[in-house]
Amino acid sequence: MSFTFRLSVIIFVFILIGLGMFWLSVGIVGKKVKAVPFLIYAACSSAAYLFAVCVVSWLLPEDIQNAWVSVLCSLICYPVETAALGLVIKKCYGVPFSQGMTAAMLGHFIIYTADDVVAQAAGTYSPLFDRMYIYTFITIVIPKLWAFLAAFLAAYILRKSGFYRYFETLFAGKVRTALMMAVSFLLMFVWTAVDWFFPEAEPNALYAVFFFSLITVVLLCVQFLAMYTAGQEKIHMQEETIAQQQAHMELLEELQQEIRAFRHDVTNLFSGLSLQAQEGDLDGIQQFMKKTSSYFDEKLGNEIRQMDCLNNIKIYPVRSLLATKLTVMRQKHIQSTLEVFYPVVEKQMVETPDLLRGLGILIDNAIEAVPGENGQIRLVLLQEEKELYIAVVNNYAAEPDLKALSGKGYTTKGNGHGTGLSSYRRIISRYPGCITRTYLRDGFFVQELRLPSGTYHPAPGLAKGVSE
Amino acid sequence: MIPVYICDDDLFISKRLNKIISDQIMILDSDMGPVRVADTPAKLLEMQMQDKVPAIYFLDIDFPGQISGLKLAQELRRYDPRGFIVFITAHGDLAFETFRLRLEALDYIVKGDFDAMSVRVRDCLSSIQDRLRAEPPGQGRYCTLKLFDTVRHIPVEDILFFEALGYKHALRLHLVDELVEFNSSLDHFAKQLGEEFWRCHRGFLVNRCHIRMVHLKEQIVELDTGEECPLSRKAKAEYKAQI
Repeated sequence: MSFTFRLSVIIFVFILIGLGMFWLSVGIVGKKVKAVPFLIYAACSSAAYLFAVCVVSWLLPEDIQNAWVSVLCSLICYPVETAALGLVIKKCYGVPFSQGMTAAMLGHFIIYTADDVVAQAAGTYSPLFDRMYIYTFITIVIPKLWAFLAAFLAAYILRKSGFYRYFETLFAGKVRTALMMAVSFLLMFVWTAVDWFFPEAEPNALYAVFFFSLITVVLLCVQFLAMYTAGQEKIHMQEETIAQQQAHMELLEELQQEIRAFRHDVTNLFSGLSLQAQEGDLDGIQQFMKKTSSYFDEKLGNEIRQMDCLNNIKIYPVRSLLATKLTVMRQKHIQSTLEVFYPVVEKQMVETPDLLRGLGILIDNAIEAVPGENGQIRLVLLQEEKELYIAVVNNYAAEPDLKALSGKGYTTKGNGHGTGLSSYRRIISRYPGCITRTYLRDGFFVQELRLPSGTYHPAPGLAKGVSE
Repeated sequence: MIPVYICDDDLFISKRLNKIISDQIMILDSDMGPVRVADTPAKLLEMQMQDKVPAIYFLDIDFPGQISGLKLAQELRRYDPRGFIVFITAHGDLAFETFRLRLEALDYIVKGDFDAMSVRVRDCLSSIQDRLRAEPPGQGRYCTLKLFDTVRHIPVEDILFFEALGYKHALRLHLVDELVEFNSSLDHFAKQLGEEFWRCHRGFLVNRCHIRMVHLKEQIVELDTGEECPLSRKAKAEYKAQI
């Protein structure tokens, strides 16, 4: 065979497999296929292959069996290649490395299975040709094409079914992440292992069926596992929402009780007043007016104001979160105020679960930080055209150290409590354009969060200008 | 002289306030004035443009059928980010935390009792006077931060350092007693702030005035607040060359 033909076949195989891998992995994490990341990845993986081949042929003496070469090649190549793809996905799409690499490993498994089965079948069943070109075509080109098609199809199905949403939940904890990565790592080497242990295995129809069912079963298992964990999470969230709504209901009931008591008071007061009026006691009436004009405000003003403000929040999960937190504050005898000037509507750039988590952390921190007596917390939400402004203000027992705050895992409560703030940072960092501000003023600790709202898209270089 | 504006659609109130403020300025013997009255937000915005800033504003919260006091204050802030804003309200239960945090409003005055208003006005004016004395306008350089629709002027000497965070275009600005995180580039600030700031590392831009010591061996720049920034090899070489 001519050198050009060999070279073009190799390039063809590289491009097809690379594209297939890329397409499928990106499909698993649910992102769009883009040219630049693919090119970066293609360069990395070709370099990895070349490197592996060079290293292996340099390290091993020539007389050792060929099987060794391919095994060693795979051992070096596969992890490097998938890690490269994982890195590319992380850099270009902002998906965590563990997810990207797992997706790459799963993609690797699917493609190599599809490729290998068809290649072996073709090698066995095709009639013997004396022309090498056609043989090459049948045993290399067709299987690779088929592998690419399979990858494309799988990616399409995964994307359509919204698999990436379930996929993410598989990486919720460290244990889960490690497990997922280990399983996909082993899957990646299934073929190497098969080649190693059964080099003489005769490929036949049964064999092909077995491996296709293996792919299907693995995919189904992953999908089921992912859906199951996602379902569990959803149930958990719903339970939380129900608890929050119950707290809200309790608050309403309390308010109703107070209104009833107040009505009773007012009836009494007015019967006294009407007596005074009958007697024409003008001074007495004036005194009464002075006394009672602030009475209502004192009794119910704060609760009613808080209710009004809560009603202004049109994102219901946020409303119930705030109601719950306000109840907690009341139970702990922390003086709380909530100010929501304009309706807060559901058009934030930040997804509601993340908003809830972030806000929850800020408020919990405030509740933890206030002094035991005379604790004060003020919450402000201000919806504007382009942003949602949130501020959590609290007084403190020990002055927070801003220098330490910028580090990882800061807390005044000893070890283990500092995860809140760092996960708050992590949540916020997912959304470009968010602004956070932390400062001390007049004995209060202020945490501000400004979220882009609506159709606002932050341009790079948002902050600018310096003047004299 | 620092101009003083009153904006209220209730003529009775604005007249009364005018009298109180003028009296208090006399008593304090301060260089504030003249006191001018606008009955609509539009008029006030027009007046503001014709005189210098910073100025002092006494604003009503509600203008039926027109922009709210909050919007008005935001408009005023655009041209006068360092002015002093005091709100006038009919209710004692004003959502003042919003105004204070968002607009850095100074205080609020409850309409009603003449004497109580006088006391409140006097407190406001004397606190303004103190602030002006502590930090006279037009002194020193400011770093302007435009975040969404709001502009903030930060005195350059308050800036400790800028830190680039790992993810895309995110910066953390360390001030004395404050942390701000936003999207921008370090290059931008390095260019704008000039020689007063030193790029001691690819991801750090330090205010030279706040450097206490440069530890060459440990490759650390120590600030006078005790914070530390890393020193890159390139910056170290530059630093050595300068000495």
